[in-house]
Amino acid sequence: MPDDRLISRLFEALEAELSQERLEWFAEKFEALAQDRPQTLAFFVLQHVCQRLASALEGEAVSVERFHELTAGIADQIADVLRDLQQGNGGVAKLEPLVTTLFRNLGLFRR
Amino acid sequence: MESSLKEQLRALLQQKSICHGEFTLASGAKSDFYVDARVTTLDPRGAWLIGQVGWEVVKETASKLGRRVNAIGGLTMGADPVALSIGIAAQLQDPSTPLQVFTVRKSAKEHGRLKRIEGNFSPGDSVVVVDDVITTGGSTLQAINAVEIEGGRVAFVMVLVDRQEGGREAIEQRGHKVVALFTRADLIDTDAGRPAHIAAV
Repeated sequence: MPDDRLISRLFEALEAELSQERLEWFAEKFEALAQDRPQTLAFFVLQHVCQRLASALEGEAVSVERFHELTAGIADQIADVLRDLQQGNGGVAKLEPLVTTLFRNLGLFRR
Repeated sequence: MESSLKEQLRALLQQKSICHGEFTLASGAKSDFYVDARVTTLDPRGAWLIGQVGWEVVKETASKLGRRVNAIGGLTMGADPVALSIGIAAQLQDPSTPLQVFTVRKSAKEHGRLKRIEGNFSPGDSVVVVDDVITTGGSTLQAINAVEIEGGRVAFVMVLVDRQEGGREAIEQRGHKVVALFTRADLIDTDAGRPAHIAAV
């Protein structure tokens, strides 16, 4: 994956604290990357993770504590996937832990 | 208009929509209060009051600016009940009014006609863009962009609650007047025991 300006902007944005608006921005960029780049599956999953989390935050009175619970670990794991993609790996191995974190944070696991 | 309608709306917002605590807002900013406007905009009494008060403000602002207005809408879903309430009030008060209502999707449909705006909107319309709450102005600016891209003209912007955190300025920098039915100062008593004064509409 070429180290272009968009990927650099994504890394920079991941260093700041997440927010609903920032997650919506990430989702939009990952959607575009899924359509433009060969690593379609990885970017598609990243888009859905961001969109799902943004939806969870939307229109809610989210306490600071709850916000940290919902977003814990997400930015670091997205950055891990991006680094993996940059190194020429498919990023797929890092996707499962990311989705697991998302489900755990949202309290969706039933097992 | 009876000023008491605006007072009633303010009381309802204070009773149902203002939550105190430590919150993270959509922008990521931290705040000691949260405005859950939907419990008021989707309350039948609240919707009726928003319609009555909002339609008066639309007429008055359009007249002051010398602009015709023929549609009202904003970004789904916060703006939807506000726009429809005002559209219904306009129709009840003046059945000949041309005011129509539309809604703006957060993103364009990927299939079909790829529309971003749904409902009663046509290129060339002069519209009031509405929102329930503005903080940074992000969702309102998204709606403004969609209206302009699809050939509409923004007459002005009207919001139910302006949190006074830069949103109004961001929208006005784009050249659009912003009218707020209420501001943070109207709803949050900073001086304990003294209710904020609301100017009559």
